[in-house]
This record gives sequence, structure tokens and C-alpha cells, in this order.
Amino acid sequence: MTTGDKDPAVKLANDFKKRGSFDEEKSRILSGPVDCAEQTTLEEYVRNRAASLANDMVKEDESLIFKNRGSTSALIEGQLVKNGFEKLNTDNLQIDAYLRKILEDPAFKDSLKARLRANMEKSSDENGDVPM
Amino acid sequence: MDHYRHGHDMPYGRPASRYQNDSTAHTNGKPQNGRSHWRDRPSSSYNRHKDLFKGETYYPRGSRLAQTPVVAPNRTRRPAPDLRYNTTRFHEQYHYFDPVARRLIHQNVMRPWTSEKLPSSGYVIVQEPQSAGKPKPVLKARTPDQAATDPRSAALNNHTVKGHTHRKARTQLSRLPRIVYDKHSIGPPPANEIVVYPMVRDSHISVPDAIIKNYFSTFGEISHFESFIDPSNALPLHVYVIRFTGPPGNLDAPFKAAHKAAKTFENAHYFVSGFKFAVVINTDNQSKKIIDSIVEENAKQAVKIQKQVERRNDNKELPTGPQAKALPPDLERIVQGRPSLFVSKKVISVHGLAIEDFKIKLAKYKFSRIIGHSSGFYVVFNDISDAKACMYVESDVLSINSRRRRKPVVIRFTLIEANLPSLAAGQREARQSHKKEYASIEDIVNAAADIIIQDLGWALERDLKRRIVGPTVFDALSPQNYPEIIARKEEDEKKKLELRRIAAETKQKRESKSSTFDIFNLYGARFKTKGLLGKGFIRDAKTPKESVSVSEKADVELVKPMAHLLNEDSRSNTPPAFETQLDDDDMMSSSVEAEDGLQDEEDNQDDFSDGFEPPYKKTKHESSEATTPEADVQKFVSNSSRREELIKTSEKYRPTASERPTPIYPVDLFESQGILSAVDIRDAVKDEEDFVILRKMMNPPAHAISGEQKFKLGVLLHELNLASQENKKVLALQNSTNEMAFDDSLRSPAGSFKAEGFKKISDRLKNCYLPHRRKLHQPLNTVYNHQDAAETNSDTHRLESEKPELENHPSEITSSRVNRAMNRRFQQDIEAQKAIIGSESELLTLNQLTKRKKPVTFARSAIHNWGLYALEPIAAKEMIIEYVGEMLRQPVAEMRERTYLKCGIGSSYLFRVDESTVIDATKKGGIARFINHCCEPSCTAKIIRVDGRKRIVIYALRDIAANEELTYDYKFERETDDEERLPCHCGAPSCKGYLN
Repeated sequence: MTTGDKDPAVKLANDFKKRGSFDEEKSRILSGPVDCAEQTTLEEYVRNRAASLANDMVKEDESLIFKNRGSTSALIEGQLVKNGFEKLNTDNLQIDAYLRKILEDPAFKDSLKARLRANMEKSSDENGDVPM
Repeated sequence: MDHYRHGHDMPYGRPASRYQNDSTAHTNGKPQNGRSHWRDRPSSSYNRHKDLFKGETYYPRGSRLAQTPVVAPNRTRRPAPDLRYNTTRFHEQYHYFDPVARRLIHQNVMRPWTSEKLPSSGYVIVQEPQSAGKPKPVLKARTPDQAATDPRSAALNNHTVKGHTHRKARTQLSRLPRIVYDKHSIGPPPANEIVVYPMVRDSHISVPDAIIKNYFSTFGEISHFESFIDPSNALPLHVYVIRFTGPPGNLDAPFKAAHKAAKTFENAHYFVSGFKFAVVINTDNQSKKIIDSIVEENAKQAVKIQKQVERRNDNKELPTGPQAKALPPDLERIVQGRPSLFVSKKVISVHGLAIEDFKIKLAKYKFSRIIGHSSGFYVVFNDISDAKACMYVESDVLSINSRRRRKPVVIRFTLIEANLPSLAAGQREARQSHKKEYASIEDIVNAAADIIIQDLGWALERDLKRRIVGPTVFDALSPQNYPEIIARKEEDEKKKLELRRIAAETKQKRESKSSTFDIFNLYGARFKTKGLLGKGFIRDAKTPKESVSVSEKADVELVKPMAHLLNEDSRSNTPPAFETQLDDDDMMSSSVEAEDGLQDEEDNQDDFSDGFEPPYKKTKHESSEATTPEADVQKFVSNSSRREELIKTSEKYRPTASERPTPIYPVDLFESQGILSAVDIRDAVKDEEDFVILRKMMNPPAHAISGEQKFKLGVLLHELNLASQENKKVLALQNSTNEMAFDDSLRSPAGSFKAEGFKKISDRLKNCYLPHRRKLHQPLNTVYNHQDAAETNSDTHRLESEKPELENHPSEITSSRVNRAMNRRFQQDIEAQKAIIGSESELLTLNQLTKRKKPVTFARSAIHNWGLYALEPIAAKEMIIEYVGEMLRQPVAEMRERTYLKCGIGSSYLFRVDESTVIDATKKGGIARFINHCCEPSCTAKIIRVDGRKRIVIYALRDIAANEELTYDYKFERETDDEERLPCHCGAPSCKGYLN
């Protein structure tokens, strides 16, 4: 938090988050449609992938369903998620790359910046002085 | 010169006359009247000395003194001798001198010794060393005219002669013994003090003074004991001066003590408590010197250490000064800002050092971990003070043996300060400007946007993982999603349950069969298995139907446990159906004469083969997959032509679906039923087929028999029938009482068994007629109280079911719980009594083991003579009774064993406690001696210690029912001589047949 005092950029970013815009963005990305299957969102897609993978695992080893559900699910989850969603990636969609693409999209960044600028002006209007 | 000696010579030829009265003969000793008789003769130079009397001095002739008046008047003679043998009686005894006549006699016969061979002047025999080496006696002539010389003086004068002295050259001076100092001694007293000082300068010496003082006081009384300390640091030097003293009467005591003490440790050092001391006499105030030297040494040591410390303090600055070692970034996470000591890679790689070396050497310091990195080793501490402490002490001091250079190498540490990540960031910032200066708002916005994007990335990842993937996986694992798997599992479970149920049922059924002989189920059941295994049929004591079902069920059950005994009869194999058919054929034909299924099969083979298959398949796989029965059924059902066939055959002959192939008619075991009568054969023919076979066998004449013959035949048959029925009844009775039929060898041909004389009946046969020998699925209610001596042991009494006598002794039936409580109370009473009496009384000591005894009693046994039976059920692992008897040593036991064998006591009641002790209950002992041997025992013996003494105690191996005989494994040693082996009648299925 101390950095927030020192660094105006950080302060701005925090401001942005406080407004809820951050979460908004996040959910937007997640619910964005996936390239291959237009109907499903990223979120759903990931869900389906995870479920199918888990099913496969159970088919391989039937005893999984009889073990402690919490710990087995945690183990499987860990396996799926590590190495940057390696197992969840399919030929159609590389989750990792996809996300990064979205994030690094310059248009996205520009939109962000625009919003930030607007926020800053708003706050400066409110506060009366620009923290420089 | 004595008169007894004659100086030089005795004159030759002159007889000696000893007697002074003898004027004719020379007096040889004591001259008469003070004058020698030789004075009478003219004295030559030889005789001059003889002329002197005793007390007279010789003066040469020419001297004046000879004429002195002193000499002249005093001429005393010796007193006259007392002659004893001068009587005439002794005349013939005289050899050469006649004392009476005073003259020499036999002169003519006596010859002087002189001869030509011998030197005339006399001779001497001398041992002279010959050339050979050994000294030989040599005759040497005397030379009386030559004056003798002293050979020693010759040697003395002749110094060039190398004297062969026989003394060895001494290597050291021989010690003079200590001269005792007493009141007559002159000079200063010897030392009475000793100094004891350490040989090795070891700072860890910690010998209490008292020990040294006590030890040296054994040499003598100590008057003064002083220990010295280092004046500079007040530490003890372990140098002691001990002064001895002694009782006032004994002046020498202290000196002796000191001397002894010093002497004891002259060559060896005084070794006490691991430290060596030297002990010396304190001469010339040596102690002071020693002390001074030690003090000097100490001082030097101190100076050295001082220098070291200073040096180390100086070294302190070095590490932090020039090289500000920073932690490599990838280790930052592990180290997490804690202080650490760094050892450069160069040192490590050159000398091949390992982390373990450091771990060992720095074990005293509380390091958290040692990380190995490409740049070197980092010793991480949790606390900066720990790091610094380790640093100051060990850097440049710690030396580890180099692996490559075979030399210890000194390690230098560099301290890396603690760095908290936030602090680090803060420091970084602090070094930069305090405020972030941006060129423009644009930059701020840019920066903010970057931050946001970064955060978004992380947030998305987190979200995916936790919110999306996690729950889906969790839900996916729910069993509801996999109905097929669940269903399959449930099926498996069901099958297992089913199997278990069947097993339980069959077990129950079998148990119910022998419910009447409940307690002996254990024996009885085993007996049934024994009969069953080989053939798969039961003895036909039961009704046919029962037997079939029992055989079915029993086979299923019992084949399994005992299969290991019969390797050939393994039902788990799956031979093709044909083979199993043949097996069955063999089995049936071997036990039955010309019977049922065999020939039938040849005709109705198809039917039977089909009929047999499903049952066979069932025996093959008890837990077969669901698929195979279906397949069979399908095969079976779909064949319509066969169905027609089946319908054609009569009910009786239709194939039945049962576990094993069963014959249509019940099994008829002819051989076991004793004598076979024609009636039996007649009854054996059960259907047309049998009759045909019979006809073939008998080959009866073709013509029919006449009516008369028929009548006769009928009568005969009737009688036969009756006879066989009687027989059967008898047999049945015998079997019911004795379990085996009466053996014919016991039946006397003449009619009277007694008339035949005495013969030994084997134990096997004894079962036939002795009730108590009966085997074991009969209730052996022979348990009763021997204390009622008036009771006669009649058979009827024995066969009666219960023990009426027990009512007379109600206390014995009480349960063991109550018993234990009573025993405890009893024990407490005894303790109270003991306390009152105060002293130990032997009468009040309890054999504790008697209190733990279970109610058991002895009675006739089927195994051997007498046995021990439990009166109430006993749980497993409970103590039953103690084996009490005479305690003997090993040799005594051996002797007794031989004695008993000679006396004819065939049973052995000797029980080994340990290698050297044996308990003998042959003549004296407890009832535990009645426990018989069984190859499958119900009890075991253990040796426990009670009050330090070993006792033999019998424990139950398994649950024992009431009225069951207690058995245990005698563990006799295997006898090599086969005739010495004792047969075992325990009746267990795994009976070895012999006791030893």
C-alpha cells in the first residue's frame, strides 16, 4: 500500500480497480466467445474440457470415484492447471496463448488507457490537485 | 704347629706311637712328659720341629733364645693315654703295632707303599686340563724341597695375562638398597616429600584432589598435602606436594613411604581418571621448579590465545568491507531475506567440498539450511546474530579436509545481510527518487494500464483455476456421473454377499447335522471329512436322501480346507468335461460293485453328458462370470431336438441339475457292511439294466426251476433275509456304540476267548469293545468325581449323560469370575494375617498359580487311559493349570527316566523347564499330569516366572468347550529308532501317527 502513495500509476490502477472496472474486464474476457465453438464462452469451454478430462481419468481408474472426493479433485485440478493449462489446451484452443493474446491486444490497452485517463480527470476534478 | 701334625713328614718306616708311656715307639701326638720321644734320636733338620713341645717356640739352633731358661725347664709331657686294647685278648687284632709290646709287628708281611712306579718323594693327584679340554687326574710328584709359590701373586705380577674372569661386564651400576634411616644414621635425613604433577598439559584435567590424597596415603601417613594454582588465572595446576610422616617410634617411616611412592612410579606413570601424573621425590625443591615451568607454559598459552582473538577481531572487518556479496536472485525466494554466509565456488570446486562437510562442521551453529548454488554455498541463518556469531568464530578458522589436495583448507565466509523483499524494494526506491516523476500524464496512464493488464492476467489465471476448473472436476468425480461403474460394483458386491451367504448356510447345515453331539463337533466334524475326501461319499449310516444332500454340501465345504493334503484331488483344475466324466466313472465303479450310472452312461451318454456339463461347470467356477451360465443355458435351451429326447426318458433318468453328478439310486457300500448275503445282492438289483448285468454275471441255466425248488428257494431266501437283517441290526448297534464294527479277529474260533490264553490286543482293536476307548463323536461322559470312592465304575454309569455327583459339590461349579473374586479376597485375608503376625511364615505363602487354575478334572480318556477335562468353557489364551511335580536337575531326571523304564512305567511324566531343570510328576504331582498328547492341541505350555522361580503353566490355545478333553503337544524329540516310537491315538486329522 505504501507504494500506492509513492507511485501515482499504482494509485491510478488501484482507483480503476475500486471502480469495479477491473472485474468487469475480467468477466468480459472470460465470457468472450471462443474461436472454435462460437456458442460457448471461454469459461464454459474450460469447464467442459475439465469435465471431459476428469471423466477420462475416472474411466481409466475407477477407484477414483470411491476415494475422498475433495483430495482427489484437488489433485486432478492441480494436474490440469499446471504448466500453464497444459492439459486443458486442445488443438482447437490454447488457453494460455489465447488469454495472453487478449491481454496484449493493443486495442485493449488503448481502451484501458482511455478509461484511465477519464478516471484521472475525474479524480483530479474531485480532489482538486493532481498528485505529481 | 700342632703336634698332631708332623710338619713336613713322618719318618719312613717308623711306626707311630701315640702313647707317651711307650718309650720304644715314637710318640705321635702327645709327647710324654712334655718331651717328644724323638728327642731321643739325633734330630735332623726335619725333626727339629718335632722336638718342640706344645707351647714351645722354635728357635733355631744357633740362636740364643733356644738356650733361654724360658724354654728349658718347662718340658711337660702329655698325659698318658688310656689304652684299652692292650690286653692279650686283642692280640690277634693288632695289624701292625703291638701296644703291649710297643713295637711294630708284621713288618715282614707289611710292605711299604714305595715302588718304582710311584715317585719316591710322594705324589699328588691333580686335576689338570688336558688338551681334550676336560680336566683329568694326573699324578704329580711332590717336590718337598721346593718352596711353594702363590699362583695368584704370579698373575698379579703378570699384568699382561688376560684373566678369564667369569664375571659378566655390568651394564649399569647395581642399586644400593635404601639405607634405613634410624637414630644412628648420620647425615641429613632423606627426602620425605614427593611431587605429583601432570605429564600432559591438558586443560581438561579434572581430578579431584581427594582422590590423589587418598591414593598416596596408602603409602604412608600424610602430614602435608598441598596443591598449587596458577597465580595468573587462579586455575588449579594439578601439581601436588605430599609430605609423609610416621609414628614417632619409626623414624624411617616417612622416608620409606616417600621412597616407595617414588619407586612405584619410577618407570610407569600414575594414571588416574584418565590422566597421567609423574611422581618424583621432591629433592632440591623440585616442586617449585615444576610449578614454575607449568605456570610459564600456561602464560604462554594465554598469550597465544590472546593473539588469536585479536586477530579474529581484526579479521571481522574484512568480509563486510570490500566485497558486498549479494544473493543471486534465484535464491532470493528460498533465502527470503535471511542472513547468510557465503563460501565461494572457487574454494569449493578446487577442494571438492560438499554441503555435508559444512553441515557437519557448522552443526553447532543454528543454521537453517545450506544451499548449493553455482556461485557457491550459502549457509542461511534465521537470525543475524547467529550468522554473525558463526562468521566471527569460523571464518578463516574452520578447516575442512580437502578432498583433492589431501590437506585441510581454511574456509572464509562472507556475510550476506538479511534482506526483506519489501525492504529491498523500499531500499531500491530509497536509492532512487522518493517520488515517481513522470514525464506526463500519458506516462502515468501507460504505467497504470500496464499494471492493470498484468493484474488481469494473474486474476484470470486464478479465476480459471479456482472458480472454473476446480468445481467442475469436483463435480465430475461424483459417483452419480458414472452409473455403469456403480452398477458394476454393486453387482460385484452382491455376488460376494451371495457367496458368503451360501458358505454360511452350508456351514450351518453341517453343524445342525451333528447338533446332538454338540461339544464334540470339533472331533466329529473332522471325522466326517476324513472319510469323505477320497471318495466323496459318506458312510451310509444315514438315510439316502440326507446322505446325498450332505455329500453335496459337505463336499463343497470340506474339499476346500483339506485340499492341501490331497494334491492329486484338486477340484480347482478344470479338465474338459469328458475327463471329469471319466473321473466320476472311476469313483463310482470303485466303490460300488456293478452299479447305477456306469452302464447307463454308455447308453444315455448324450443325455448324461449334457446333464453333467452344467453341474460340472458349476463346480469349476463357483464365482463364475455371469456370462458363462448364460452361454450354457443358451446352448442347452436352444437345442430343441435334445429336449425331445429328454422328455422321452423317464423321470428318474433325467439329468438333474445338481452340483455334482449323483447316482440315481442311493449308494450301496457293500464292503463296509460286513458279511454279504444273497439277499443284499438281490436288493442291489434296482432296475432292468441291473438285472441284465446280473444275469450275464451269474449265467444261470436256461431251464426254469421246478416248483419244489422254488419253494425251497423261497424258504432259504426268507431265512437269509432274517439273518441278514439280524446282522445288520447287530452291526448298527456296534457302530452306534463303538463307532466301528466288531473286528473278527477278536472273535474266538473256539468260542471262549479266555480259553485261548493271553495275547496282546492292539489299541486299534480296543476301540471295538472298550467303551472309554470309543472314538470321539460319541459323548464321552466319563467325567465324574473320583472323590466318591464308593462309586463303582460300571459301564451303565458311564453311559448316563450327566454328572449327578456334581450337585454334592456346588462350590466347584462356580464360574471362574466368582472364583477369581474369592481368590482375591482370600489373598487379601492372607496379607492381613501376615501383617498381623509381622514375620514371614511359610505356611502363609500362597502358590499364586493355584488361584488361577480353572475347574478341570480327570476322567477316562479315548486318547489314552486317563485325561484331563474342562468342566466349564475356557476362553483362548487363558491359564488353565500349573504342571506341578518334583523339581529335578538334569542328571537326576535322566537317571529317573532310566529307572522308570526299567520298572515298566511306560508313560513319561517328566517335563522340561529349562536346560538344567526338569519337573517330574510321575510319583508326586498335580493333576496336570493327566493331560494327553494331541497332534492338534487345544492347549500349550509356557514357562513363567513367579517370585523369581520358573513354573510350567498350561494355557489354552483356543476356546475350549465344557467337558472337552484338554490336549497339548508334548513336543517329544523325533526318535531315530523306529521301534521306539510311540503311536498316537489322538484322532486328529493331521495326526502324525506317533508321539515322537
